[in-house]
This record gives sequence, C-alpha cells and structure tokens, in this order.
Amino acid sequence: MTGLDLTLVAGAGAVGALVRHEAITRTLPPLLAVHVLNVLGALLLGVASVALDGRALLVLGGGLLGGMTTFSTWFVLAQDEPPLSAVLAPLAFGVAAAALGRLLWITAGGVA
Amino acid sequence: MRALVALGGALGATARVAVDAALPTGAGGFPTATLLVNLTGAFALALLVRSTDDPALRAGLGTGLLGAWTTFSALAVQGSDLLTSAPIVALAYLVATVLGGVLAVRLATRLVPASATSTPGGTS
Repeated sequence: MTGLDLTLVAGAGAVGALVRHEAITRTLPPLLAVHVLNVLGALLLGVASVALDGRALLVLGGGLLGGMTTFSTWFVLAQDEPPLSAVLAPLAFGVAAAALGRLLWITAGGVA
Repeated sequence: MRALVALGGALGATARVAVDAALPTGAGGFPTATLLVNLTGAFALALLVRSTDDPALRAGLGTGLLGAWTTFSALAVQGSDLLTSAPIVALAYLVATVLGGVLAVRLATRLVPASATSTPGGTS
C-alpha cells in the first residue's frame, strides 16, 4: 500500500463518515438510519467486490463504504433492543444484500 | 462538528485498512482483522457514550473515528463469500461477531457505571 493509497482512503473515509453522520442526525431514527446505510453499503460492496480491484476497491470499498457503514454504532444503539430485529435481521439482510450486489453485477454482464 | 466527524472518519478508515493489510485473510479464511476492529470499536464506543456527553467528543471520536474504524459492509461481504466457500468458517465468524459484539458492549457498560452525564444510546 502506497502513501497515495492511504491518502485516498483517508479522504474516502471522511466522506463516508460524513454521509453517515448526516443520515443519522437528519433523516430516520438513528438505529434505523444505521440499518439502512449498512445494508446499502453491503449491497454496494457486493457490487464493488466483483466490479473493482486494486486501488479502486481499496478506496471505494475500504474507505468510502467502510466509513459509511458501521458496526460500533449499530451494536451500541441495539444494546437495549430486541436482538432478533435489531441485530440478527439486519445482519441477515446485509449478507443477502452483499450476495445480491455481486449477482446483479454478474448478471448485468459485468466480469466476475 | 462536521470537521471532527470527517477527521475522525479519515483516521478510522485508514487505520482499519492498515489492520486489514497487516492481517490478510486468504480465500475461505477467517476474517480476523474485521472481527478485531469491530469488537474493539464496539467496546470503545460503548465506553465513550457512557463517559461523556460532550458533542464534539462524541462526533469526532464516536461517529467519526470509531464509526469508521468498524465496518458492516466488509462483514456482510465476508459472510456472504464464506457461506458459499466455507460454511463452517462463515458460521463461526458470524457467531463470533454477534456474540463478541454483545459481550463487548456489555463489558464496557459494566466498567463504566451509569452516571449523571450518560445517556445510553445517544451516539450521534
């Protein structure tokens, strides 16, 4: 990994965190906003994981989508919520969304 | 506030990518790096929200740094990949992530007793 890679990841991570901050503070109730961003990020990383590689995957996947999605806020907000709806269902949706993203890209004619 | 979120997000994402590079996961392998960042991040955030109500600290360290240090997108893609290539590893990984995350947050909650300044759940 080069210095340029890390610099680009930092910029993308900043953008991802800002998107998350705005979504959590201005749109839906915080935990619901986190679920939406997480599942959306999983779908997009599913696409990116087959559509991109190298620096593009590192920056957009690791930086932007990694910064936009979160595990820490999810688990802290879910602490006093029913585990089935607050933890297990979102995890299942995320795993399915990642698989769907990959499938969509491949069936759309993209190269796996 | 946005500048602090951006700065924290830049640092958190860069540190996570560096950990990923230091602990690479082979095909069908257990994603140690992602599990490590997610559990430590959940633990640290749970400590933070019970320790301070300062909006700047919560934005910069909580939403920015710890939010970007941890990730859901990688967790979901790894889980999806492993379910087809190595289902036992997938199951172990997902169970370790969920149980570890719950335990990490509970442990942090016990370490920092509820105080007058804490509003559990308010992380943004």
